[in-house]
Amino acid sequence: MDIQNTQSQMRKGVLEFCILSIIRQGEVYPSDIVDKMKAADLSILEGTLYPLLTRLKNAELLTYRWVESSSGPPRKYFSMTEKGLIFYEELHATWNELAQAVQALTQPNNP
Amino acid sequence: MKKVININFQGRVVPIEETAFEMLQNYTDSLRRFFANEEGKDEIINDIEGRIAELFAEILKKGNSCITDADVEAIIQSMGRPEDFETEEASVHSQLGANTSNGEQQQQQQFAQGRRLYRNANDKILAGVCGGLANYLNVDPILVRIIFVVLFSIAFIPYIVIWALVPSEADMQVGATRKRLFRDEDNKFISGVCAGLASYFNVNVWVPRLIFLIPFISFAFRWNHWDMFSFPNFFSISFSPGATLIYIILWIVLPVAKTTSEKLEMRGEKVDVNSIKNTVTEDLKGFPNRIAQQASKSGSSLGRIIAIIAKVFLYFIMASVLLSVVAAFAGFGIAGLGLLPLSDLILKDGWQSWLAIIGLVLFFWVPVVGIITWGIRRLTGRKGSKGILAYAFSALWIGGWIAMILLVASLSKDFRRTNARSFEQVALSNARVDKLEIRNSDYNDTFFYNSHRFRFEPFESINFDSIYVPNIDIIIEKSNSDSFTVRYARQANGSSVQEAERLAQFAFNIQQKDTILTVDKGIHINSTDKFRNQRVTMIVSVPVGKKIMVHEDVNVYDDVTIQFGPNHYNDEFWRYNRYRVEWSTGVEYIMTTEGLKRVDGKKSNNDSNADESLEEYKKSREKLEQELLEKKRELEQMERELKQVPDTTNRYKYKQVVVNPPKASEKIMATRLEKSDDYIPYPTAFILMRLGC
Repeated sequence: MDIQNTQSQMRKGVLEFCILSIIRQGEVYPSDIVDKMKAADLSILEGTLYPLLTRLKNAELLTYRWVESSSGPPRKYFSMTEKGLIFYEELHATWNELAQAVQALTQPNNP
Repeated sequence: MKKVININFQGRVVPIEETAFEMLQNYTDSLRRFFANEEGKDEIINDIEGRIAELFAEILKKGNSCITDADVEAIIQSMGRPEDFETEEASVHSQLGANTSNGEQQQQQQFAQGRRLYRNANDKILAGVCGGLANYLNVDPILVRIIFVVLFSIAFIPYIVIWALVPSEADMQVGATRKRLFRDEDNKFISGVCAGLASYFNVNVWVPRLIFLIPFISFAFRWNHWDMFSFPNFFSISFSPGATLIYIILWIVLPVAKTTSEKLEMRGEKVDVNSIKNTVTEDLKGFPNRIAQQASKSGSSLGRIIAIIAKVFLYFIMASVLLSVVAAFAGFGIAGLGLLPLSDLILKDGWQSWLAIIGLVLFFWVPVVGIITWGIRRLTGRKGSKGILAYAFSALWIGGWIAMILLVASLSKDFRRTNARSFEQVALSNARVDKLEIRNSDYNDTFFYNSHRFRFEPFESINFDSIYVPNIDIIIEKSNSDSFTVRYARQANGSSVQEAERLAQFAFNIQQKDTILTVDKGIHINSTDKFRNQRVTMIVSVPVGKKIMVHEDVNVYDDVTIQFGPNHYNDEFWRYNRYRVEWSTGVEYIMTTEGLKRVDGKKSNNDSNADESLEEYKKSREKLEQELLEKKRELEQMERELKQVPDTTNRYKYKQVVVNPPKASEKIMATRLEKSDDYIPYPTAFILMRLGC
């Protein structure tokens, strides 16, 4: 069994949730997201992030607006939609359930 | 020092090193491939590129003058390579409607299937043939080039064919971890050829070295016994020049792996950041050595010179081939035009002759015009819809082919059958003459003095209304009786045997007048009956003891032959198996029981000179020998006289002998005198002096 595969699977499971939670906190652009993830010890590659953001936007969970910048090309600032919020809440609930379950299983009760 | 180019990236002008740009291109191409089936792929790629542009802007803002390799590497590293992207699994994607994993597979397949053979316009030395082939087969183009060079004599034509037929768009495979063949100068022994080969084939570096050295090894073993042709010397002698030649070719043709990415390509490692980093650190260790060595650039420029020479040579050959093709077609076309008046005599009226004219024009003249036009356009720069013209010409030419084939088919139908050979006897006015001389009948004067007459093989003369064809075989054989007999058979070709027989009833005159047998010089062909290979076989039987001669005029086309032995009249091809005897026209022959012999006794006309000189030589020899004998006798006599009178009174009396003998006798005399026992020094010395010894 390749442990890296399983580890990667675990990561992939929560990535979307984490990104949505970052965006929920305020309008951000992708570079910001990368930095924040890094700060939280959950680094993500930009190449992973961009497709994800695009998919979420296509699913109308996110929206963006262009902001001109003095240094460099205009940037996309992402923010959450209503639909996205609902989606997020559901994911949050799922996450809690999962966390509890895992917690329970990894700390068996000592008789 | 690196070349810097300006690119338009995301709407901004960015100065970037050329090598860095290549890396960037490879990266974006790989992204494009990765997201090929992704929904919204353009947006994703645009986002990523936008991010890269932002980073570029930051770099430039910091005061750097351009984007370097290192910058791009760092960016790629932080963005990550497509293989590292964590793509969503099917569960999420089914929600959003895209199926990546299947899509990726499809994409791979598509990519493999969709590869077609192109000529590589970027990676080309001459025409990109080898580059394109290599691309298609997924090997390094250098290998393909080497094979072409080594097999040049055989591969030459296919190269031209591929050049002509395969289109030239570059369909370069980008970003793949393609293994390329380089020279590895870091691990080099002489020039890194073997090291590079070893890297490409993933073997130990000594393997190719040994392969190259094997032919030379046996030299070392048999140093004392330098016997060229015994094994293994023979083996090494035959292979070592080849091995050396291949090595030198490789040395010239293979490029040196200089940049890091090239080195990685050489080893077949993925050209991405990590491996680049590792290689760079390795290289830095060897850097001082490399600074000391001046890697000669001559390798690649020599290759370029050779390529240019080969290119010129090739163009020259192509030009001469084209020129000769045009000339040949034009020649046929002109001949065809010239023969047009004859067409009446060969072709039936109506559609057959039309076919001939159409076929002539289309088959011969269209390519001439077409090639000349193409040549002129090529030289003066292309313009206009070239494709249409080419199609038009080709269509016309194919029409010409069809016309010619139809023409040949219908003509051959008319020549298919021939009638059997049946001999008719010629009534001779006097069959018991002593000799016969075969001559041609004179033409009508009109044919001789007619200014329209011109000679054109195989037609004897052409008058535009009718022609004479000298399709006559004359056979001379031994007669079984004691009188001459002459018989002849007429034959022709036709679409059926009856037609052939009808056509064979042409007029042909053989007449005897005293000792002259007059034969028609040719068969008259007119436009009603047309030329259908009418021919005559005439047999003259000569009785033993009688003479025969063939006049020079008759044998213009060497159709008169002499036949002995059993008759081979039965099969059609007997004329090629008959006994050919050396004989000449204008010479009288007499028939003997063994066959014809010349009356004048010479072996052949050419013998005369040899005979004469032989005779002369013999005569002069005899004369000389006689003179020699005479002189000898004189000398003996003189000797005797001298012997007889050895007294002083006569001491100084000596006869004056004026002799001018031939040289041969001199020698004989000298030897004879020396050998004789009666050697009298003084007088003989005088004699010898007088004789001029």
